[in-house]
Amino acid sequence: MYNKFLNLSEKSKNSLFWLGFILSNLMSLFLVFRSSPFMISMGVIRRVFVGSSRLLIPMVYVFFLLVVISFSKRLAADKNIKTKLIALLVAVLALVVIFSLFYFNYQDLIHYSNYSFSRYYIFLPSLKFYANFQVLMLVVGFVSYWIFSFNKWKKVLTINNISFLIVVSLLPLIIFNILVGIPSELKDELYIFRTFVLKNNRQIPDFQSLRDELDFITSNTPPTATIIHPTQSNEFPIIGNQPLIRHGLFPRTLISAKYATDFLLQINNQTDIYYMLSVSYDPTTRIQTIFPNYQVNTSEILILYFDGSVRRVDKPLYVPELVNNLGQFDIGLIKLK
Amino acid sequence: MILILFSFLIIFLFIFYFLRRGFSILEALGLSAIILLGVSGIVPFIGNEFFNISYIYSSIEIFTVVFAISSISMLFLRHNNRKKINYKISKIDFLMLVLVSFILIRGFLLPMRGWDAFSLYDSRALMFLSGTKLSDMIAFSKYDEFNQLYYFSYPPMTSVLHTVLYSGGPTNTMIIYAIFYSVFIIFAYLFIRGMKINGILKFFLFVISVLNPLIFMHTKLAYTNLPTLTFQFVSLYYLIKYGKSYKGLYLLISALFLGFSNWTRSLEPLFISFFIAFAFLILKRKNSLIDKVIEGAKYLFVSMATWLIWSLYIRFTIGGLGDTSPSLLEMISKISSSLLLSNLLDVVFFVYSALSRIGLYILMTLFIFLFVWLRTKKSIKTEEKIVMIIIFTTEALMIGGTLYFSKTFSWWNQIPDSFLRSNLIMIPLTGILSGYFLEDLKTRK
Repeated sequence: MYNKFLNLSEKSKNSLFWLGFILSNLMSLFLVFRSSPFMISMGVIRRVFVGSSRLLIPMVYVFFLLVVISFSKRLAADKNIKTKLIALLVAVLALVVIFSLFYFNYQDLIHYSNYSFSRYYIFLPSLKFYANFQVLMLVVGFVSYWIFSFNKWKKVLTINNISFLIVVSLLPLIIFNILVGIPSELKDELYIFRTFVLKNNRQIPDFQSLRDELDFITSNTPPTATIIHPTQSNEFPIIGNQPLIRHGLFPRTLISAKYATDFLLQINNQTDIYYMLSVSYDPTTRIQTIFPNYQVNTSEILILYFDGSVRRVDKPLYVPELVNNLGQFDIGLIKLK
Repeated sequence: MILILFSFLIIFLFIFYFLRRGFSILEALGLSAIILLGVSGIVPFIGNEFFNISYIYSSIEIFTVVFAISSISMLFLRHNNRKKINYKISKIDFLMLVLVSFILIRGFLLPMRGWDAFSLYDSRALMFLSGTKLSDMIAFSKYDEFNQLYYFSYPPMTSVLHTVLYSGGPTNTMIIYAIFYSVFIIFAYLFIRGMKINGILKFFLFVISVLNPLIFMHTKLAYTNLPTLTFQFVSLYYLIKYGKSYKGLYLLISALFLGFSNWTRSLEPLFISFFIAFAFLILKRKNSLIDKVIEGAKYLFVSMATWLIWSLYIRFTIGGLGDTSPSLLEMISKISSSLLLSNLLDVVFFVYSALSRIGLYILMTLFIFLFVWLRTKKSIKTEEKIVMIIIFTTEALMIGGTLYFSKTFSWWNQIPDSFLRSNLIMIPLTGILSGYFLEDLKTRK
């Protein structure tokens, strides 16, 4: 079948080439700019297009690759300057796409992670796919040009050579993807070295201010203390996670909020029981979650602020409403009476 | 710490001067580092759990074990003076050493990262150091609403390594992962160095199998994936070496590293793929049936010893891990019930989207499988067959495991990153397989 395709007339080959070229590039561009005002104004058509693109795009790409192979055969055979110019144009366009990926990746890195999307409506994963296809097209075009430049190219196409060429052609593609990932690795490396290694910073990179909170608790409670912490939830993902905070608080006994009553009923005459006073605020729903959200008889309340200062509140009774008088604070400790 | 360095020296000298079976300096260095890491991750744990020796003395324990084993084996091994020692270091070997030293220095500086590292591996290490046994950690589940028996979810290899490091004073733990990564790149280099293909291709293959950000990222995270990957990779290296010469020493080393990898992660039963590859090698060898059985028993025993210790330990302390370590019958029934079309589609979609970041590697492997099948008239190399067997069974196990998970846990499709991390070994295996394939194409037209 492919042989039949190769034997088509010059004119129809030309139109097929331009059809493949325009279709593949236009569709990829639509996908890259899928959230631009123009695309949004398309409404249902846009949704159908984006939804079906998972199937359509690979088909169009394979079609264009076949066209590129036949084009390379022509390029290898005739010395027409026009064909060469077209090849050059396609290659330059491919390089533009590839470099634009690097450029917008870099823009995202130096500004913020969604910069090119919010500023230029460029959907980076699509652009990455597009650029990958361009690399593949360049490799396929180059390799097939090289094969067809042999006089007896049909003899070259043994299963051995084809498999060699396919495996070797995939290498640049993988290396290209590794190269695309390098800038973000470098950025992360620089961030870690600047903020932690060079400044001798004891903070934990993944959990901001957790080290401060744990240090505050350890310095204000004895090792034999018992600490009741909020339940692991969306509101308290970090300090609710008992194994995680045990990393800093061991050997203190840790109690999930659910078991607090059970525990308090069982013990007798144990001192040094603390509540971890914590507030979670969801800016979208504007809901404030306070732990503990009930009254507690207390002998002292300690509050850690974000600037590192500690405030002591002497009240015989803790009520959740107290939190509103404390201002923005990091975490607190309520000592049970 | 000095004792640990001495142990390293002993292993290195033992391998390099005494065994002398074609070990180059680079290989001896990598091998002794990884053996030391494996031994340090097991010996202090056994000493503490079963003999009540505190982790403070772990460096002494490690030194004693290393010294004892190497001196006893020296008594039994014949010393062969005639073989010349290979002191040669080529320019590229030297470049590798420079690269490795950069990675090690960087490892000394990096802060520890990773959620599980804090909540599990390093937490256990700190508790070990303060005298808490792993079996004491059952008590922590009592007042925890979630995370039941969380501290038992992974074998203790990396935790014990952290403890050994801390026992010499406060140190940066990421050096452990830097050593693992260094050993990994040394062995990837050794794999690729021996292939008879173009130098540029070798360089490309090295880059794609080692420098992928997905693997490199693990030098910054204190997770168990990189150690497991390294152990399995080194195990594969010696399995292939065994396939070439059938020397018992390589078999032992390969089994030992498989054992170490079982001591690091027990969730994915990847050792099965190694067993199948090993069975293939054994059956191919022309020797008596009794010899085959003895060899097989040796391999099984050494590689499964750690797994056996861990599962017995789990059974006697907490009585079983529940759904993540099911019985065979239960597994078969669940997998067969997971083969409904709707569920199957979900699983296929999950695997497809989770592995899309290594999609090109999978594509390359699939192409190679296809071409090997198309070229059936030509026999392929044993090494290539081994790698293919391991890739095939690994992926079969991964998909089977996903099918099982899809019927067992409601959250099975929430962990694509975790699934991808479990498949990391596909990256270097693809590199190695394509190297062998290209070599095959060149040598057997």
